Amino acid sequence: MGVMNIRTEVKQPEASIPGSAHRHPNLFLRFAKNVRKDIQFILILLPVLIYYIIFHYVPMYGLLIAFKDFQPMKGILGSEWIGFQNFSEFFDSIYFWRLLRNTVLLSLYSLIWGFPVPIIFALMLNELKERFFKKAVQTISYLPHFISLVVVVGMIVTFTSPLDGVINIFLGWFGIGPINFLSEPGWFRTIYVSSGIWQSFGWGSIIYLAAIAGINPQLYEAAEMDGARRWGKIRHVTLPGIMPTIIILFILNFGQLMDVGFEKVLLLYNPATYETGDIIGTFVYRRGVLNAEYGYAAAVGLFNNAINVCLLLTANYLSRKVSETSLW
Amino acid sequence: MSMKKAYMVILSTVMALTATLTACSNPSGKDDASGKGGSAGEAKGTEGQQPVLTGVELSYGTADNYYAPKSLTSGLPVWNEIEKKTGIRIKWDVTPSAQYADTMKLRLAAGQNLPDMISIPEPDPVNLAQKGLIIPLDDLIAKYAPNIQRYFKASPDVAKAMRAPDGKLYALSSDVTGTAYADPYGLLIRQDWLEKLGLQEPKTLDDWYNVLKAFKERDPNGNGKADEIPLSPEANLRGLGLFGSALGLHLFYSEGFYPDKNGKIQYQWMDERAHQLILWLNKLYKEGLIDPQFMTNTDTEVTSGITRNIIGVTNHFINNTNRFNAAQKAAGVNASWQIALPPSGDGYKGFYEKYGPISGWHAITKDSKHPEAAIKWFDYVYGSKEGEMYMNFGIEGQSYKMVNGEPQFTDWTSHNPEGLSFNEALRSLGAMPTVAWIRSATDTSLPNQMPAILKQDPYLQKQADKVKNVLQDSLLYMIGLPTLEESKQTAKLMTDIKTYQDETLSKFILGQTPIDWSKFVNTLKSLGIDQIIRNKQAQYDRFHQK
Repeated sequence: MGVMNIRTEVKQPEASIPGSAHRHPNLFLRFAKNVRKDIQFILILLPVLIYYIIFHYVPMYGLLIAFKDFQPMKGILGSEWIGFQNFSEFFDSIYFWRLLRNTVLLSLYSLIWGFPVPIIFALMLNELKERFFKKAVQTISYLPHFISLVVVVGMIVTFTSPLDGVINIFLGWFGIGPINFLSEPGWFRTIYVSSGIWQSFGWGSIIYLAAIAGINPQLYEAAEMDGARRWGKIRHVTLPGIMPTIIILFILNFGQLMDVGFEKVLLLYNPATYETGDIIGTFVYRRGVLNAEYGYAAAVGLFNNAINVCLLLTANYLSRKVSETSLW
Repeated sequence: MSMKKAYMVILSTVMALTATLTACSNPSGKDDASGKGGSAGEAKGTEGQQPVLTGVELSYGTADNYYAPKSLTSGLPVWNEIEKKTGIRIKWDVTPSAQYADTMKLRLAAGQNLPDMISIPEPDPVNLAQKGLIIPLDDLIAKYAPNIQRYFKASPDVAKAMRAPDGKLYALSSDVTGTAYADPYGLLIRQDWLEKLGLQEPKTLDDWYNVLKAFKERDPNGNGKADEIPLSPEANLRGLGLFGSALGLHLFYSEGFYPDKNGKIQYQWMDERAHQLILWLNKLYKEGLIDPQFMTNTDTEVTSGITRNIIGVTNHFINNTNRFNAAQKAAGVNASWQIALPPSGDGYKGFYEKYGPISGWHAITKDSKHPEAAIKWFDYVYGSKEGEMYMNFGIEGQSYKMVNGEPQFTDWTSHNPEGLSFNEALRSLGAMPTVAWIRSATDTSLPNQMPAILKQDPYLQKQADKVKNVLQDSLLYMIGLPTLEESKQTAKLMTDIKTYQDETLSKFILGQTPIDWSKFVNTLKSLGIDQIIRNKQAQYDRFHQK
């Protein structure tokens, strides 16, 4: 996600713009004139637009298979329509509520605990004066982002081993008995969320650092003159300055609540931790292993996306009401 | 400034090159050298003779060679020979084995441009046949495949296992009945630790408890630390099920579904005996005799623990004892891993279930323009003695030689100069492939690879002999394929059932929840296990009717 450009629209009275003393009566001509004016921007945008149309919008008709008993030989149109049967099969599972709860909670905890960390980190980095140290810390903080997920999980398994893992040895110094972290449901969310934060906060802070760099330094000087010290400056200049960025990113993250990292859960969980670790994605995966049920998987995916869209709309609406910033 | 400019130019060139090179990586190495073929040249040769077909090119979609450095597309010796003998060139449409299933499933879902022949990515040929993606083979075999006909007559049970519920044959399966006796799967134990501690080999569950306790308390690895993990099962919860043999429970390959003496399929996990097993396993876990990470361990962790000289008992195919011993030897320990006799109990003679009888499915797709050529090719590779010699033994003169009319593996295979293992050496020539082949113990006109392998390895031969008489058929030897209806029902119910069962049993063993067996059984019933039992019963009955 790049930095979203929040444009504030300023309406100009039409009479003051030369050449537009009258509006073209013809809508098409007006459209053509606007296009000609912005033609360079449109050309740059065109490849991306085409990409999205071809690869993201056109395939949407495939969603139909969620409502059908999809047989590849018959094709999408030829397969039998079964309405909401796939959905009801999914909702009828005794584990449906648990799966929903686990999916939402994992995401929610990641968001609540993980969202502030890159921000705080960026703020702290911004306060560093010693350039070399600052660069070094920044670079080191990026590194975990590049480690493959499988390797990270391997590290987690090794570190949390009840027999000779680092964490349990450390706990042993305080007389705390070895904890079988990965086999106890109570620990699953903590491990999932904290390892995710460790891996992403450095890289995530980049966007905030960029936003901070965009704040007018004169504002800081003005604050200084008004008697603000370090904390005051952060609170009254920096934070408000990057607030639009924070809000936009929050909305976007909120709209991905149902997309919990399937691969990471798959690698970390096992039947002993199904209670907190089994999410919608992993359940459907296990079902898919028995039979390639494309219709069923599509139905669950559609369900996930529907929830995500609702969340996105809600977050955007709330944000527009509460602040001046919103995605649209 | 020009210095800076030069630096920028160099940097961007390097980055561009890196990006291009990464994008251009060609994992399959050599090209397929296909080009011509694919048309004309219909199959010649009459019934009963070895057909020589010329000029036909068939594509085979399957996983790439399990020995990854030698891709099937690189022109392996075995396949070059077969091409000469059959006149059919094979265009290998392969994906690395780890990705094969996913890739082929997508292609099957698209249903277009399928290869002539494919290895079916999930064990349900009935499903694909129903969708019209693969064609029935009976007529083709009757007309063009005399060797396959002979093989089916010689191994009727295996042939039955391949038939769909409607009686038709849609796919050929690799026969692995030979493997079961020569490479059995069971509990593997550190024989040297038993000797060091003066212990007898365990027979009953109580014996096993005592042995594991001794492993834990008496420091058999001799380093003064109580760091031993007496039992670290392979395959997590499923591996622990092997101990069910002491209670007459068939929990491994049969997964708990087994006929009682009246021929009625029971789900043995609901049996009170399974309750006893879980209580026993819980006792072991509480006393630290089972690896605390047994739920998360994979093959890697278990091997790592073995190399670190801390594991006493695990479970696997016996050929892994060589691998374990070698790994420990490299770490400086003279370990002696061997298969142990299965646990027995009151009125129950211990047993291990046999692997197999069949593995994998291979079929001719609807898109094939030369199904007759395809079945003739199968007839040679899967069913003829000559073809099976290639599959099982490789190239004469290199990987085997004929001694008194019997094939014997050469030193090149058993003590490969480049350090390749048996399987790897054979696979590097293209033998032991990812296509349908027969590794049978039942059809005596076909070469039997396994005794030849064991002959080269007395250590494995001894172990195979040790458990020869305690091997039993699993349910898979007694049932045919499910109907589409049965498949769908099972798929629908089994996810919930398996989730509940695995979760509950693991929590029982780990001691996280108190063991409430009646609740467990009742919940399984409410999840629909009875329907699954009825489906398995139907498969069982159909198999015994024919």
